[in-house]
Formats: sequence, structure tokens, C-alpha cells
Amino acid sequence: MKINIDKLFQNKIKESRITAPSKLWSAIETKLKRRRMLRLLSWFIGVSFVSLMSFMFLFFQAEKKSTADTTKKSTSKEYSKNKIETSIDNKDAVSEKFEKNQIKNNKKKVVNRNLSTNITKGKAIYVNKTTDVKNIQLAAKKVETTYFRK
Amino acid sequence: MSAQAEIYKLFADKLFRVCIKYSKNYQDAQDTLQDSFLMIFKDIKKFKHKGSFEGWAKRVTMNVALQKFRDKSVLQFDVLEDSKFAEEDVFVDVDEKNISLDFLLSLIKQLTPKYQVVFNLYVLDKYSHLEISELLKISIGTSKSNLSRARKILQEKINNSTKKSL
Repeated sequence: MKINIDKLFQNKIKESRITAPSKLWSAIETKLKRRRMLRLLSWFIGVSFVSLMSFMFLFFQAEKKSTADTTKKSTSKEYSKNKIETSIDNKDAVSEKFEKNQIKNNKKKVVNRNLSTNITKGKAIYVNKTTDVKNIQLAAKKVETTYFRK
Repeated sequence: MSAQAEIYKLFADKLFRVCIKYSKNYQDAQDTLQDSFLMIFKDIKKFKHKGSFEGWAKRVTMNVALQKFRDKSVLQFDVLEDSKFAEEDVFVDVDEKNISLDFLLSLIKQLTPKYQVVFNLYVLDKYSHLEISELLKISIGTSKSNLSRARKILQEKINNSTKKSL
């Protein structure tokens, strides 16, 4: 019986019951699990790398800031130390100056006191003088009245 | 049972049939099927629901099988542009019931790789000559002539085997 060669092959393929081996699924499943694990692992590595980098960045930023602060503090400490030293050095000169000033001030005070006493004295004199004038005027008035009445 | 296991259960046999045509032996076909399923599960998001899932899965399997076939054998096609010769129908005088699929598949495997691929794609997977030419990057005429040569060789082999059996 003559048959077309294409039909012969197609019919035989259609009729056949080719089944895939059942054990193959377990092999595929294992590979899928491994691939999933690898994906998870790579994701984990990626995330940890990024977090590590960001942590390092933040840490170095903080470190940079703290070193800047310590240098600032040390310079200020040195400055204050120098200031203290200079102040200690200048202490004698300052105290000398202070003493001089005090003496000056005392002198001024004395002068002022003298001036004020003088002023009070002057005032007293003035008062005395005015009383004197008043007294003279009164006396004159008395003399006048006594003499002119007579 | 997971969705992937369900897909395997539904399509494994059909895809294994594709694999067995392009593999040298049963072990190679198993490897091809395994790689195809891994590829299907990896690229499942690329399936756009335009055609059937089975058609898409078959295409993926075909590509994997063809890639493996290309890696193992050198495909150098005869550039023959005789279209009359190419479109000729070939008949064999045999009793269909007495011929097994294994025998027919063994005959295909005896062909040179270039004839094997074109015959499988056109006759068994029902690709057009245009599709074959695009897939294998050959001209339509080359596809037709290679198919014709494959048919002639197979005819000779089948006739010889029936003569021997008689």
C-alpha cells in the first residue's frame, strides 16, 4: 500500500505514547530550588553590600565630624592654656598696674574728700559770712532805730 | 502540588516528543526537556497570553533543542534552488502497522544534521518553509531542496528495509 512519507511519519508520531520520565521532575525541582537559593543569596549579598557601604559612609562622615570637633576643641584648649599662661605672665604687671591704679584712685579719693571738706568749709564760711552780714544788718537796724528814735 | 509541578504534569509528555526528535538518544532528550522546563519557568513572565501556552512552551523547547543540536553538529546546508524538485511528493510502499515509531526515528537520526533539522521542522513540527528559512537563516529554496533530499533518502531506506524483511 502506497503512502505519503510525510503522512507516515506524522501518523506514527500522533499514535505514539511517548511519556516523559517521572524522575525528571525531581531533578528539575532540585535545580529550581538551587536557582531560587542562588537568587536569594545574590539578593542578600547585594543588600548587605549596599547596607555596609552606607554604614561605612555614615561612619566615616561621623568620624570626620568628630575629628574636626576634637581639633577645634584642642585648638580652643591650647588657646585658653596660652591665655592662662599669658595671664600668669601678665599677672605681676597687671597687679602692679592695679596697685598703681588703686593708689591713683585713693589719691583721687583723698583729693576729692579734701575738696569736699573744703567745699563744706567754704559753705560754712559762706554761711557764717552771710549770718555775719545778716547780723550786721540787724545791728545796723538796731542802731538806726535806737538813734533815730532818740 | 506547586504550579510549576502542575505545568510539568500537563506538558511534559508533549514537550518530550519535541525533544526526542532533535536528540541523538533518550538521555539527550531528557537533558533537553530539563533545560527547556528551566527556560520556561525562567521566561514565563514573557508569555503575553497571545496564543496558547502549549504553543509558546513548544516554541521555547524547540529553540532549546535546536540550540543543542547546533552545538553538537555542524549545519552546512546545500544551496539548491530547484523548486520543482523540492515540491515533489514522495511515496513509500509499506504496511503502516508493521512499522514502529522507533524505527522511523532511527531512520531520521541516520540523516545528516542539515536534512534532519529541515525534515523534523517541516514534517513533524509543521513549520512552513518561510519559518524554517527565518529560523535557520537560509533561503526558502534551500529549505525546500534539503527537505526533498531528506525525503528521497528516507524513501530509499524504508524501501530497502521492507525488501530485506521480505
